[in-house]
This record gives sequence, C-alpha cells and structure tokens, in this order.
Amino acid sequence: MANRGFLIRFIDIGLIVLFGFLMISEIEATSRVELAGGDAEVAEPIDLDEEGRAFLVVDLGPEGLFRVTDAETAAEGAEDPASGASAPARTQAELAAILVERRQAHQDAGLETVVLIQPHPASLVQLTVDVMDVCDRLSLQRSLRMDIQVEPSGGEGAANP
Amino acid sequence: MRKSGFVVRFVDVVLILLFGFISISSVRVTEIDLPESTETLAPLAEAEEVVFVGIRPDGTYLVDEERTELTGAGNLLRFLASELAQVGDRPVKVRIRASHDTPMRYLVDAARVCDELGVPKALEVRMAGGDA
Repeated sequence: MANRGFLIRFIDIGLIVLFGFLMISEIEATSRVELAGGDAEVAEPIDLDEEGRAFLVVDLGPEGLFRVTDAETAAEGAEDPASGASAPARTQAELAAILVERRQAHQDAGLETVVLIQPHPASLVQLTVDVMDVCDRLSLQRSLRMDIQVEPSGGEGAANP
Repeated sequence: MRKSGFVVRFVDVVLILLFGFISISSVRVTEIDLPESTETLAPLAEAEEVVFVGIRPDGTYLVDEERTELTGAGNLLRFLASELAQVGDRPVKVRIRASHDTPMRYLVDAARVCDELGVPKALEVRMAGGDA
C-alpha cells in the first residue's frame, strides 16, 4: 500500500514537472525570407526593364509611414519626385487598399504590378516584413531594395566575447 | 498486482513524455525578438551549413550562438570570413536574426557583408501564431 502511494506521488511529480516545463518553454515557429543577391536561385533580382510590368515603389519612412509611388510617374515628374505618391498609409490595411487600387489601374492597362520595397535606413525591420506580408496577401510580386544608402554606423570596435 | 503494473507503466509513459519533450526542445535563451510575419510559409529544410547572425536594435551583431558581440560591419565581415574558412567546401548560408525594432540600416549592412563574401542570406521571421 505504501509502495502504491509512493508511485502515485511519483506520477504527480512527473506530471507537475512535465506541465511546468511545457508552460515555461517558448515554442517559437520561425521561417525565413530569402534576400536577393548572393544566391540567384532563391531570390532572383527583378528585371526593372521588363515590358508589361508596372512598378510601385513603397517607401518606408523612419516615422513608420508607407508611401506608395508609381515608379514611372515619379520618374516623369522630375521637378517633383514625389508626384504620383499616395497619401501616407499608417496601417497595413491602408497600404493594402492603396495597392489594390493601383493594381486595378495597372490591370486595366494590361500591366502586371511589381512592388519595390524601399525602406529608409532608420525604418524598423518589422515594417519591411509588414509590407512583404501585404504583398504576399495580395499575391503581388515584390522585391526588397537592399541598395539603400546607409551612412556608416557605429564604430568598428573590438569583438566582445 | 495488476493495478500496480498499470501504475508503473503510467509512470513510464509520463517519464518518456517528459524526457522526450526535454530532449527535442531547444532551450535557447535569446535576446532577439524576431519580426512577426503572417504570410511567410513554413520553411523547407536546408542542406547548407547555417551561420546565425543576430542584430540588436542598437546595431550590435550577435554571433556564435549569441555568445559573442560584434560592433560594426567590418568585424562581422572578419567573423564570417573565418567561419567560411573553417567550413571549407560545404555550402554555407547566413540566417539574419534581426530584432523587430532594429533599424534597416543594420540589416542592410549585414546583407552587404554576405554579398561581399558571396554567401546567400535570409531574414528569419517569427510566424504569426507560432507562440505556444
């Protein structure tokens, strides 16, 4: 009888440890976004000169706003580089609405829409991922511009183990 | 006797579950809070050797399982070059683990370092709803 009581307590302890471990452990499901350059097989750079495509530039500001510009319109309006730019979007929903509207215009003209994501050096990584998500949700082809101008940042200090 | 046998088996099952869970879970303490993505698909298995590079919001790079802190792209370049030399002919890939609130400039710096070394790179994201 005493032996059985011991076993039951042992089960209790086992279960407590098991569920305690389940509770404290953080199971994080991660994935990855392939970045262009270095490995053309996984993330082929988009050909900007290809016909039948219209490019939308999504600028990510340091303040967290998204600005959508029709690449061609912006190039034509040399005096005002921001010509053709949308009102800044604050949320993913607003950005999606703008992209849907522009895509419709492109579709009417028989063009395929490609989104060029152009983050400001000071904009947060999460914002870039948000724009990618919006593009994926709308099945829009997207390309992240990694050739943004970056001023030298931080010192070249020694490695700190 | 039959009851006792049942209890012993039950204990076995609980312990197997416990130690199984402990062994498969990667208990890794990380200070990088990854950006969250709602649309990124589950990743395919990678055949390459993966080198992880963490980026803190202040721009410092965390390498060697986040045990070593590097400042500046130059140091990162030197570290990755030495890693590549160690790996030899095996294909290598860099997985950038930038914190969600890291400015893009640091991610771009890390990506440029990878390009300079000719190593493919990918940005790691947390899949939405991936937390237990």
